[in-house]
Amino acid sequence: MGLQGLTRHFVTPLEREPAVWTTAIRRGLISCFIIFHLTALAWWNFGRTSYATTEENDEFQLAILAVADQIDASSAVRSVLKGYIRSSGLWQVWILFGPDAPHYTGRVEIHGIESFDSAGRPVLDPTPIWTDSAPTLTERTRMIGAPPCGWDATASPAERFLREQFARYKGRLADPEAKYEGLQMTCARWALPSSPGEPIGAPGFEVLWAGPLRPTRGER
Amino acid sequence: MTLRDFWFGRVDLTGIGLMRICTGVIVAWMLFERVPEVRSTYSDEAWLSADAAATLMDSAHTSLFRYITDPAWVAATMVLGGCCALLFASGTWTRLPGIVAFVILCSVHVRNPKVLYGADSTARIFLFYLLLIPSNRCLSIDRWRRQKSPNAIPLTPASSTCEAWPVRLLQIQVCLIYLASGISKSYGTDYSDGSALWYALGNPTFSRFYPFAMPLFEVITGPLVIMSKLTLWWELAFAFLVPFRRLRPWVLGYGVVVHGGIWVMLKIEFWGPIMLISYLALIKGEQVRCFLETLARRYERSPG
Repeated sequence: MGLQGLTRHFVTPLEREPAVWTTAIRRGLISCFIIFHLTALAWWNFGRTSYATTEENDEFQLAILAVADQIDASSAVRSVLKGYIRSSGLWQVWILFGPDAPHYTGRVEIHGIESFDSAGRPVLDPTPIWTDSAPTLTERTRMIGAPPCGWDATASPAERFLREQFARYKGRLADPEAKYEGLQMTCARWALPSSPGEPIGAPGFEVLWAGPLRPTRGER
Repeated sequence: MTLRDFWFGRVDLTGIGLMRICTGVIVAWMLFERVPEVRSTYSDEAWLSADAAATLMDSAHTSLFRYITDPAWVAATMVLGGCCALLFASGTWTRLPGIVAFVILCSVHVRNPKVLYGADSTARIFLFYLLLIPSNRCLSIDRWRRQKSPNAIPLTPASSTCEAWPVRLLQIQVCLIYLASGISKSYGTDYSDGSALWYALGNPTFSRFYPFAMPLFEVITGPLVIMSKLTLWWELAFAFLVPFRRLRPWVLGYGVVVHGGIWVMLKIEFWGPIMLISYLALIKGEQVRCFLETLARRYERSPG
């Protein structure tokens, strides 16, 4: 079956417009745009040569943007097409749960630090001030714990974020700033069992941020 | 049919008009729902600085929110974008509000790419293509006003059509999304060994019914394995099967099951709806028109 067979179902041919020269020029320009657009899309999406593994998947979505020129064999063409692809908003063909679905789940918790022991370790209020398992929240807190761009993880953005989350729940707590010495944000991660019958195991905890409550730069 | 007919034949825009309405509403919702997060996520007080976001996205690609940084102004810009998206959805001066909404949506996405998910990207992509298509020729305020105008030119069925090329590009893009996703998934092991659906449905982060539905998943392990494998092959074959008229209902029907299932079972809010909306570009406009006219007739006949 040729192109005719492939394409006939999509089209409702009506009377053709008269083939005046303006129409020909217009169609010529449109044809050039179509060829350019499809070439750009194909090169951008299929020009790379490697895909990430399961664990790298989250970072892959950004890595493909940031280091695409290094991982594919068509970097020169890609860099030419980049301006068009980025301006048209077509920079990502979404890959949902690919190459594999996540094999873990996570939850972010913020605990109040009640005091510090003699070794300087925080003693936490066992009841979290705040907890959430939303994927975007887990993602952003992982960014705070492991910033990909080399900024200082202890700098104000993380602290502002924590304070804002803390402030959201202020109403539920009586005088929270007097009650706690500081805050600690933790990400708990569980590996999922490989089949529905097996139980989920114990979580691993990663401290993303911990520090005293103090005003942010903007509040001073 | 020739290649010329494929690109420059006329296509009915009723389905595209409906797609414009749905996409515009979703884009507006996406912008409005971000307003409460402006301070923490998109302003000069955000946890991801504008410089860091620019590094992530490539510094050559900029965002309005590199220049608009005050939380109040960022929020106002997003509200403006949402209102423009609603104007676009309703087909009121369609293209200009659409362009404004697109620029603001792209700026939001570039300002903080770490909080995006699939529906954000697909909404942005579909909005770009809908700006290429004169979608206001159908189901729009623009069309209604033209009809009401004293100098109105009588509207004919042909006035609801346009040259096919922008619609074809949109159709190809939808196929490309599936093909790229299928190829990506073929690099992993979860889909080929049939465990992918379990990992998605059994994940408390994503599962809407966790842990209540776990006993059900134990009972239907076999179907989950089959559906995982089938989904991989469906995504890989989508682009090659959907052009065939007889196969199209089956291909799109399976898509309705997959995306409808994702919508119902997983907390991935707009991903299912936005992909289902894209099917309106793959169905003939005449069929969508026929369906809407049937609905309208039933509504008129219904008592009261």
